[in-house]
Amino acid sequence: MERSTERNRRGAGVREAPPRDVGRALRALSNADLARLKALARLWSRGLPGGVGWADVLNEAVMRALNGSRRWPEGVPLLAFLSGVMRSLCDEHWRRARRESVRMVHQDPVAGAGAWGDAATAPDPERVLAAAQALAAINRMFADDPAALKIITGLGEGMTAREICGLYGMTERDYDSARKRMRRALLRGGLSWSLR
Amino acid sequence: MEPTVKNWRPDDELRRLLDALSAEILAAPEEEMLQAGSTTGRTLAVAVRDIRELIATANEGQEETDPGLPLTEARRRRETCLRQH
Repeated sequence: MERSTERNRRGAGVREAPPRDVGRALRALSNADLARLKALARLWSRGLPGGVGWADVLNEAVMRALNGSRRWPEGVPLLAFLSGVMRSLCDEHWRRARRESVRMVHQDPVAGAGAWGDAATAPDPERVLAAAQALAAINRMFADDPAALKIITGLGEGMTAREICGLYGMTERDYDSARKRMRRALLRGGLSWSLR
Repeated sequence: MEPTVKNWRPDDELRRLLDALSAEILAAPEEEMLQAGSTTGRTLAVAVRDIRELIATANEGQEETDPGLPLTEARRRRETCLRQH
């Protein structure tokens, strides 16, 4: 299917964009953008299993961008592209860890009896627990800021700014200042939230 | 209707929140990022140098990249590479 689509695109004269110079763009990043890149790496790598940290995720994302195994699309800012690569690397890492743990349970003759099918399709309990802990910790961080808590809840439910304002009776100005407070607090803390 | 606590998926909720926060980081003003870079226990200069070194290491190791390599193995390989320098 993909191959025929590709043939059709080529046949219709659609050319693939040439690889963009990721190395040059990386070297040109400002100090603020480098700090941004680190913040994004810390954000996506929070709580990853197996002791994998932000530097591992950022390093792998940069390598894949540099060698072209992840293509930087035209019109997408470099940092947004790298953020997406890191997000998908972290997702893949969670899935891999999940497969490993399901495989280990399956090999256990007692625990694994009949568990393979259910476990492979059910939500990953380790990831669900880590996420619940992270959400609890973020909520605790903003326990004294009800407006920020409303925004966090709304964003977690996939709501837009307008929907959050409508639901909680916030003005656009209230929303913006609470959102900025929340962002600054998270960045000041190095995006490291914990239950302790 | 009963609250849908039993259907709560914190992983999905956190994913949506992180998507929104990543957009916030991408849109944050420069001075805010510079401040954040220097308030997490290290000076901005050190933090920036670390990232530049990390990018340089990635640049050197790019030809060895296997797109299917687990992150744990990629980390081991990176540490080996750093020890060699």
